[in-house]
Amino acid sequence: MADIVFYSEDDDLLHELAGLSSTLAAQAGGGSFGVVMGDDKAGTASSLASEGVSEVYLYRAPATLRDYPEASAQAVAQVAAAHPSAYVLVGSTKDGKVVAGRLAAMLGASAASDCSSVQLSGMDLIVERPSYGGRVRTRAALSGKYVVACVKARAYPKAIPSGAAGKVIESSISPVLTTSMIEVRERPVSSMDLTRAEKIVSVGRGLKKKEDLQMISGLADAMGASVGCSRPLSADLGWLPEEAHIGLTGLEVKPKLYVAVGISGQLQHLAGVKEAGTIVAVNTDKGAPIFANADYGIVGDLYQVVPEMQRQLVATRGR
Amino acid sequence: MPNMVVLVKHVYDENQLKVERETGKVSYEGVPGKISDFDRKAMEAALVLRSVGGGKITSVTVGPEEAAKSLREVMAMGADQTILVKEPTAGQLDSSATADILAKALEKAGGFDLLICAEGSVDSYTSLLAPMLAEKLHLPLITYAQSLQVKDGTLRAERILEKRMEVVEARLPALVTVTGEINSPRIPTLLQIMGAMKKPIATFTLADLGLSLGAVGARGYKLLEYSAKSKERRKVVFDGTVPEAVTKLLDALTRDGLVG
Repeated sequence: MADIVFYSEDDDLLHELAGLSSTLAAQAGGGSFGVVMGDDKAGTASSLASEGVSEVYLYRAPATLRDYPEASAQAVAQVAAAHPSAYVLVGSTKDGKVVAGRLAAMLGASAASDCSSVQLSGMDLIVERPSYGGRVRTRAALSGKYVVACVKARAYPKAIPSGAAGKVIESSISPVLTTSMIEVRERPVSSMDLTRAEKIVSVGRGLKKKEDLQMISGLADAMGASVGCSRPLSADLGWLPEEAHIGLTGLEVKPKLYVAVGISGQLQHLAGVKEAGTIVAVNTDKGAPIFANADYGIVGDLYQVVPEMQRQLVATRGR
Repeated sequence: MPNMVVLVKHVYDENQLKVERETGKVSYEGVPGKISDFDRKAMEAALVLRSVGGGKITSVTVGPEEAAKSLREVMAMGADQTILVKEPTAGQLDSSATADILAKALEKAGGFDLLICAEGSVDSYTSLLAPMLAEKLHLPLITYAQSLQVKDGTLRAERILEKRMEVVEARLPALVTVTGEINSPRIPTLLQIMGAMKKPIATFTLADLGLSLGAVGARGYKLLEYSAKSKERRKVVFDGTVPEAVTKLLDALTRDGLVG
């Protein structure tokens, strides 16, 4: 018999973890215990309590304490350590991974992050996670008195209210904080959301100067596509905003059509497009790795191919 | 004058991994190793801080003998000294084991003010090592830093998260992880590369650190399967003149219902 403890600073993830936690708890013959941080989350705590969670620990603290992963880790460790053994699930956000790493060290637990699947097999927690930018799928077994698995957003559906009445238990900690917050700013949300785009024309180092982006957006317009880029264009050159950066450290996109123009196709970039429906590559170098990862390709100079594509699209389709 | 430590990981070159076509099995045989790219950014961040406030940069790795290659790379960039904790099976260790080894090695080296590492490594990208290490060494931790500043014994960093950015401070000694966007690392000159070949690398074994393979980490991580999952792409290259190739491409996309 083992219990499941879960935490996230993100409400959507909390409801997703609640569902997963109940499933695992039923299999393990244990209970499902949620941890919620901050005075502003009383509502979240009570809705979790109606979603099959046995006990929700509501940590009374100013909402700002949630911005300190070390405080959250101390709270979750307190809840987990009250159980002789526990599987701990943490939402795999950036801060969530910090919570998980600290928690694992505090509990002497093995841990895995970015898990897309978490299953129980005997006493082991079997997790799936990506390696090498998603090119390699890793399956691992976590075992021990305590284990920590960070679960990716949207890997599991949100729990549905079951009518079961779990308890909300108000708790507190006196966290030891070793950093201080000087300033918090919301990141400007760009109107562009490439993760929802159906078609994307993406451009890379093959582009010679910023002004030539016009040519790329011309093609994108003719196709009804959004414009994205590989890392160098946003991070190094600043020609496009970070919200356009597709790849391992940028966005993961899933368009039906992805046109990679002047992109060599390094693994870091391909990690962001592996779920794309059809990939088209335009590159001068016929040995570029992008061609081995594309459905259709044209070996040629983008400065000739792109205008020609636009011309033919407009001519034949009257746009 | 902060003494800095830059953590480095020696990984397989991800562009040269071999995948068995039918089974999806990944083979490392003959795949060359290299420095995890993001570590060069951690090194560059340290070099920038050194150029402003002085200090010494020590680079540390846990890896097989071959990992010396990655240390040479950061030495060519400008690291003052390097430490290799030699462990042939390092590639199979989980974050908790690596954190235990690094914690011991850093305690032994001692006297550092700022530890810098990348937010993740190109192979497993767990982002778990730094928080584990911070916990073990009782150090303040700032993760996902996009910029760093050290003044009067305090580290100030801009953190980039999913929906917001933060400015956070910590008193030194501290540990910081940097994002892939923090800088563009310098490319060493041939002279610097050759110079780095001659510099010594302090080498320890686990036994030297009073550790053994069976007694590091949480020992509850077991790799079951490692397989390449990649959608099979059609790899059709259209030839002919540019207008001809474009026509063939657009015809194919029209057939697929993607344009028109």
